[in-house]
Amino acid sequence: MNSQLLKELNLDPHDYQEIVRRLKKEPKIVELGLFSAMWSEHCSYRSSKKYLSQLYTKGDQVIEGPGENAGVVKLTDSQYLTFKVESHNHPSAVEPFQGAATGVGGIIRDIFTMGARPIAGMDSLHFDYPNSARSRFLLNGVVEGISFYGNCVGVPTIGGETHFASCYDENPLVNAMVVGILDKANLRRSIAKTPGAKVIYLGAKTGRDGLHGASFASGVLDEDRKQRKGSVQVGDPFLEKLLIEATLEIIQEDLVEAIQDMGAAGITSSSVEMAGKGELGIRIDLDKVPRREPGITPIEIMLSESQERMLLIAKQGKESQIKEILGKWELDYAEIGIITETGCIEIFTGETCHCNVPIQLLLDPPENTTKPIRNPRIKTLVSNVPNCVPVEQTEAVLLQQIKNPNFGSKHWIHDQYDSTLFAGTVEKPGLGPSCIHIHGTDQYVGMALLSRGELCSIDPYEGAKTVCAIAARRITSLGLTPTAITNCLNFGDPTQEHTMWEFSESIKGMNDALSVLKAPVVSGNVSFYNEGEKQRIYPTPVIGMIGTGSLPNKPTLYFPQSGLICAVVGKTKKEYIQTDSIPRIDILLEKKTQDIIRQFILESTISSCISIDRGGLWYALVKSMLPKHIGLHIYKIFQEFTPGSYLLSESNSRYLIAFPSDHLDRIQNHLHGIAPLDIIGKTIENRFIIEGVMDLAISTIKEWHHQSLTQYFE
Amino acid sequence: MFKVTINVDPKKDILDPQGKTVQHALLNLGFLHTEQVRIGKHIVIQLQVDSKEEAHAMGVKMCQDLLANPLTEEYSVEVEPC
Amino acid sequence: MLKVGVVIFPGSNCDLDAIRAVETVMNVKAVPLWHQDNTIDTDAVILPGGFSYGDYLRPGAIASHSPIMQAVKIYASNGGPVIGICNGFQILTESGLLPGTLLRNTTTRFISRDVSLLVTSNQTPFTKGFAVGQKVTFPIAHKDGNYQADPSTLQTLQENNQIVFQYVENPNGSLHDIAGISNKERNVVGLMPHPERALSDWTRTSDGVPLFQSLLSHLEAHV
Repeated sequence: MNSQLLKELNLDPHDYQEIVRRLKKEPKIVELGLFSAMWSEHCSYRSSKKYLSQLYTKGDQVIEGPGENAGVVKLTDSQYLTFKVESHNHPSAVEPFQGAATGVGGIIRDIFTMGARPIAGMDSLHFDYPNSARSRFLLNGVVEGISFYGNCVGVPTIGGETHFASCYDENPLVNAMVVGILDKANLRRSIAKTPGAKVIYLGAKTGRDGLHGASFASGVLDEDRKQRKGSVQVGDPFLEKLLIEATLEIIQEDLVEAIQDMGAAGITSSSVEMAGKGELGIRIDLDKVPRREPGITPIEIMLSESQERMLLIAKQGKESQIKEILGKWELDYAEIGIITETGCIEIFTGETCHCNVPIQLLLDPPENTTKPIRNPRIKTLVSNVPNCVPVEQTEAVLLQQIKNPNFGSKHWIHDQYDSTLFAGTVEKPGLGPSCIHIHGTDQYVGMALLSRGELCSIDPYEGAKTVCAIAARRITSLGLTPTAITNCLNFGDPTQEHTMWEFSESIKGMNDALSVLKAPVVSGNVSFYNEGEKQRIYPTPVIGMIGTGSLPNKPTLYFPQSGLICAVVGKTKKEYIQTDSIPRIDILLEKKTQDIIRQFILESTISSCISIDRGGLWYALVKSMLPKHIGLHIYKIFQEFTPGSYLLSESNSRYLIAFPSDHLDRIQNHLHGIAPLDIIGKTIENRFIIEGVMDLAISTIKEWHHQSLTQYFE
Repeated sequence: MFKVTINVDPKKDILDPQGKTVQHALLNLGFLHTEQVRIGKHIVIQLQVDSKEEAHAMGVKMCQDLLANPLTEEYSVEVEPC
Repeated sequence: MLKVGVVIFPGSNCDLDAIRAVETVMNVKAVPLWHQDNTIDTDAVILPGGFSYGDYLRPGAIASHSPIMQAVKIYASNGGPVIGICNGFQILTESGLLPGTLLRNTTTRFISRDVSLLVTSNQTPFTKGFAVGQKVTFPIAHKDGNYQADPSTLQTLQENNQIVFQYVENPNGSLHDIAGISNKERNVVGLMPHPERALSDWTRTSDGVPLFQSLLSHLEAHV
């Protein structure tokens, strides 16, 4: 076999030998193409599988765990929620607008494929600092891409996170999460059931878009890789909107037995996975596949990653009804194949057979056996948080902190996303967790999508644990109960022992947190090879948590009025992010505190509540004060702290709460023996005062906060 | 002074969702011979330079640096005196 | 039995919100009208927001040529109440049912935020329940909401009291801070902000409720 072809397919020579050994013959070109796609890290999870199988995934609320297009949890007796987060890092590094747009399109398809209407999205973005021109180019393109696609397709983007650190210079991270809602009866899976059933292709025609995308995402991003690819994938949100409506109508009418979108590795992965899960075979006639350009070859059709395409397996006898619905939405209908009993995937043009291999071989690549071993020479550069702020510098340090793009306002981003579509969004983006009302029920769904790469790079075990704890803390601040999580695990090169050490430690950390928080993992995505030629990213597990519940009052994250007592729940210690240590987390204490805080909210004991996490109490205060211009008069003596170092401590398991003074006894009684209550002051109109130290108008704080991104973009 | 006329169009092998949707609409309106629609940008720039060659070279550089996305678009540059 | 039609074009995405507003605030049946339909038998028509035909070419351009819009033209000329919200407003200007046009925001970016509006006419079926000069808050979410018209059109709009909503702080560059207008006969109204997303204080503001109540009382009095 010529080595040029192996290189083009990004197929390792050892894998090639293994394929020949298992097939007991020389594979044909198309067969080799299928192996290259299905055995790629992106499709096969060959490095991560054995770790992922240890994840905490069980719970009464779980209807569908990892393995499907998206996870499913119970909301009410008749309705389910489905959700997932997915990465589109490498395409966004090359073409940020289309990379991000098609990333959003892909995750939305995963959701409606399950039979659900997508109702809200969030994004986790990581770039180099915006003083770099390339970083600004990437951020601008990614935000415009998400805005263009999400707004047009009609899924509100209700929040998320954007972080800046120099390690994301060559390899930015673009992770998108979407939540959907479905009636119990409409849940569909991607398992073929009936030999003889017709395989139907719908959506966009097939072009040479994003050829080898799966293998593209399975290698380090160097110049060679940036050049070596088919044409850029272009997203069409209008077509996707038609696909949503048509697919949901087809599912509502109960016309399909299985359905899957064509994501990475296009027709190949969708057909192989659906037939494979049902332990059946599939036969595809390539002449029937709608194509956009002449001369496209069989292997190109099989590996094309043209967007907005779905593959479904019709219930027998329902084909004409499907065709009718597609016609109504002006979508093409093509019967391209049939489910068989052979257990093989057979691909034909006319009488010519291009491929006939057992599907289970495609689904069973050799495992990556790289041992997880720490390499102490790999040092991470994390900028220290100021931990000893001299009293006279308090104001300067605090203001500088909120002008920093990592901590300041992200309104420049959020204002470009439609966040109010479906009229259920409870709060504007930018306060941490987001929350939507499910119409026609008393149920609210909270969403928190976050990561702490800098913590994980210092200590991947404690870091991952902390990320889960913070997600649950944010959900709790809405008065909701953590239900389940999805994760996007962004790491470096999996053939490096150190990467696998970071990965396995993160998995352990997540498990130890989630099993206590009772929030199982129901879906997720692994993105390895996030490295450029010069540097590797922080290990960046991104957690997307949802919480659910009914609420007696509108959740209030910020100060609603003046005259309330303001206090910190939980012990503030001298804990900061240092190059060799991060704040500790006691997950049992975290859980106990969450349960009490939730009770306070549900019983209306407290008037506002926000999680203290990234950026410490200061950042929680800024978010609490700005929305209604209600400030705070701090009169507490900070014991062994200077005011600045108290405000910037990142100790875990803490909340900032405000309440009427006559509730004080009740609050103290409940917290007794679990967490201290540090009363720090009283809410006041329009000003932020630390007695004897500083006195600022809220409008001044707002001005500084507001500039964090606009200083680079306007 | 030269007038530089630049057309930026989606590359031939790239999907053009806008062109495709407009083609569909034209067919619906009864323009049944509509085989293909591609939609690009038409940019006119006046340049105060000495020669036609210089104007052309500058137009091409503008496309490479800003006006066209080399990954998804192709361009043509025409120059005439004005 | 009163019925309100909600037109669905390929790419409409605020149709569910409009239907919910009709059914919850007005307690009236909402009837989906398909873009291929060419007759209308409802008591009012809503053209909802979204991205009909992906906003390709120009927002509203392709939708304005659909069969249902020919029917809406006849319906409006017979005095039927019609409201276009966001993309619906763009479709109304593209089809000539309202004067002027909606251009790209002067910021060139999509803008999604809550805006404060001044009600400047309560002479339409949709604004009877507001007081002139009243301030209301609705969300906006658009990239092409910059209303422009030639000077004589603006003069006509002013003289006939056809300006219905004005922005308190102009977000998109609209001429004369115009956020919404009506036709001369006042039965056709278009606006960029989204009253159907402003129905509950839990989701930030309930200022949109009187708009749907106005329509209900208008229909009860006239149908």
